[in-house]
Amino acid sequence: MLEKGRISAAQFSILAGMSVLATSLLTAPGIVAIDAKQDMWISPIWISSAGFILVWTLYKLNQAYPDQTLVEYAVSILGRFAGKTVAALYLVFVIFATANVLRQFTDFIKLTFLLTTPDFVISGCMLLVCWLVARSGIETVARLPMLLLPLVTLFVLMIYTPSIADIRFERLTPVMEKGAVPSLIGAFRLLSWMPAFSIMNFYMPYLNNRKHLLYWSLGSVVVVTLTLSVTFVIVYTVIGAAVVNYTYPFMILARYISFTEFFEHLESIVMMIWVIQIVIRISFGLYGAALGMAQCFGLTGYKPMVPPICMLILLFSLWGIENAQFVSSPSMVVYYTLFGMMLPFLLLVVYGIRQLFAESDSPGYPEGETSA
Amino acid sequence: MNAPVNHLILLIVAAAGMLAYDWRKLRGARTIIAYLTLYISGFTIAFLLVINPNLPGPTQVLRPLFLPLAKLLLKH
Amino acid sequence: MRLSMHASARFIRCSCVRVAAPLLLAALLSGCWDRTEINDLAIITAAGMDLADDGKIKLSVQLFVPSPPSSEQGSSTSSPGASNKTIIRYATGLDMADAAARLQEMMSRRLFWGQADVFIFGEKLAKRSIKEPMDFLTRHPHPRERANLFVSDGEAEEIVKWKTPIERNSAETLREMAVLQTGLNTSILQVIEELAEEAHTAVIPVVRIMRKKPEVPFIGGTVAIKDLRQAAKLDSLETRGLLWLRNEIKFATLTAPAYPGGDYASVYIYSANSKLVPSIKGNKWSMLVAIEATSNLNENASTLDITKEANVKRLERTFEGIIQSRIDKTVKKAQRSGIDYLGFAEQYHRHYPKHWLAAKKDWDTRFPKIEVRYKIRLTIARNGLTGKNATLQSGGGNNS
Repeated sequence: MLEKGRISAAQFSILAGMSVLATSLLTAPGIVAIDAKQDMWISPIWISSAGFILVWTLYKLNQAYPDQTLVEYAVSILGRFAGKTVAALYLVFVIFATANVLRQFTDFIKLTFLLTTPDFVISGCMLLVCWLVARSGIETVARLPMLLLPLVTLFVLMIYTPSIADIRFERLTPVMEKGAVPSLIGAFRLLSWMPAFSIMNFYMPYLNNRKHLLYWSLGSVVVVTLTLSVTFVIVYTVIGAAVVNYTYPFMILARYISFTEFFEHLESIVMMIWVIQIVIRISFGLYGAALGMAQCFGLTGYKPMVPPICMLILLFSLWGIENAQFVSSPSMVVYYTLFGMMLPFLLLVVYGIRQLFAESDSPGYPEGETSA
Repeated sequence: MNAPVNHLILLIVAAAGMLAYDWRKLRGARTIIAYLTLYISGFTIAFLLVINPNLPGPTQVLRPLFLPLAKLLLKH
Repeated sequence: MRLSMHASARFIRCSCVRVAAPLLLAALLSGCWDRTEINDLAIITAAGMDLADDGKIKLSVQLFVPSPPSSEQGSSTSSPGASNKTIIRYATGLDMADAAARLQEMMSRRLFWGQADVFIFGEKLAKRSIKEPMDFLTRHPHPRERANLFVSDGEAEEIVKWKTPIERNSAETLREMAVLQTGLNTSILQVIEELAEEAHTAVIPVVRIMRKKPEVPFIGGTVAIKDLRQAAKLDSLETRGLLWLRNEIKFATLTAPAYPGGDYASVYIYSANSKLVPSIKGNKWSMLVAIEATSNLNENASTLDITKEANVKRLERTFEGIIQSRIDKTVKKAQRSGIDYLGFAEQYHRHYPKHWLAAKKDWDTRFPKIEVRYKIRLTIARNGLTGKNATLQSGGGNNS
């Protein structure tokens, strides 16, 4: 096995949850609000179903192949050639999605704080940290979020609590004015974040208490959904219909805070939340991609893969993306959904069919048996 | 043409530094092959990008590919 | 042999690191792209946008120029404000961004918008369109969403350059006035939000300059924005009515004859709450304005004996009437102009989404026909320190 470290289900779920929340907290409100308007808080609830299905799919696949990641069981399920191809495509997706996150981070920092610093310096510094995290092994990657969670929670509460004064709940009415469609379209736009849960598969084999896996993973989805929903409620009740105009409504929220005219200018807290979350998100993807790449090539260690993948992430984050608005483009959402959600699901379907038709050919892991 | 030269030098230094740093840790032929595959592809793209920053990237390839499906779903 | 080779290899590696480290560090020297020092900045405290004669935008900014404290001996003679100067600069451009760029050309320091608390639109510009400046102010990362917006009565420039004796500068004066809430207090975000709502209208307070010596700017009146341009103008009294409707009355002093033909009495309202309750019956749309207010008696020069409960009730009814007539004046004015800046549209949208969807298109014709009803309840909770105050009232009452 490539990784000797073990993580707990709790660390695993915090890692996944914070990773998915990383970019969505800041940019999702503006994107979801375009269609969903005052129903935007319903969208995360719709999309949580997709999250549940995805997590359940990964769980089932993990049960079938307890010690393997997607890259490995793709080969077991589809055969050598098709399996490797699918695995390679999936790895490209992971790298690409992580690169997009890096790009969003760079854009945000460049737009709001460091106006003249070159792109690659910001991205490079960020990747340097993530590289250090990822090469220190799975335990570091998984414990970092646990360590930083209280800090992030504190910061987020520091933004939410003073906002309460500006909340006007009547802005959320009328609920479902035009039926469920607007919130469903909003949910569709949220699909560019949910597929990040699929990177969980790289971590699942290394849990030391695997029997809690399903509950913790589902819990992670629930927490992400609730956090998004609450954020959307606060953002919409404070900023109102103007949410649509802003790219980073969450930061507008922070800037709008004026608590007794003394507690002001909280945008730097947003930056802190953002930096911490992005470090977690990128190391989440980076570690997964490096591990998967090593498994794809059949190597004995994943560490040599980390620097070149950093390089690729940096490149993809700058390459051919002229404007930051690309994240919300529907074709990107479709791409994410296809690779992040459909691909694991199809693997499970193929696995199920194979189990049905060729009981004797099934790979040597009967269900229910757990290996150490 | 002033900036690309600076950037090229920077990139070469970065590439050399990265290789020098990692080389000692590469064990086994497979690892070396895998590493070099990613390394060479990465820096080739990087060099091309420095020379021509407007090189069409993966986004340009992916977006038209998925546009029909996206249109179908969103009816925009 | 092996040892020495190992040692030399280590030596080479060490020296490599020793050479490489300073080189790499040197690479960082070119960096620090975003360092800003306070004496490289020209801090904008207020900006006024006017329409120039040729259709361009004239930007006048009030700059706070921080300068290092002067040498010790001068401090006793110069006034404390002398070391920090407030200066005014002007520039004209095709749009706001262009004007800002032109302004930058004339400055030795970089313009910094992050501390700008007050933005003032000139009346002429407001009548044309506030679209351009608003877009600039929201798109630019620096201006804060809580900055106050005003429309000036006349040129915005005059207010920007006005020198205040009390506060640091006129921006500070206006902001404090807005916070005191005698008029409206609207931030950029609020205006953007209101414009995004169903009626696409917003209200912005008006700053006037009192034309007597000494000249004092004050917030008096309101401008209603419709389709991004000034569509109606309310005076101070009508603005009070508007504040009642928007539930933004924090405190108010009402004065009226205690009874028809009597002397004046005043109440000070310290708690007020208003609600708009829409209702649709058949094709008849009506709006109920429900107000609850609590007040103290401030002054009573009339002969009315306010120690008697019936008289207090009478006084309460009188003031309820005053509130109603104030609000009604504003409502009538809005309905006459057909511009819904009262927030009625939003209420119908919230409570009757289906009806609203159908009526949305001809809202401008439907709005004037809405019947407005009032349910006002004012309580006089305390009479002040004096009760009947017989000495004053017997003397004054007999004369009048």
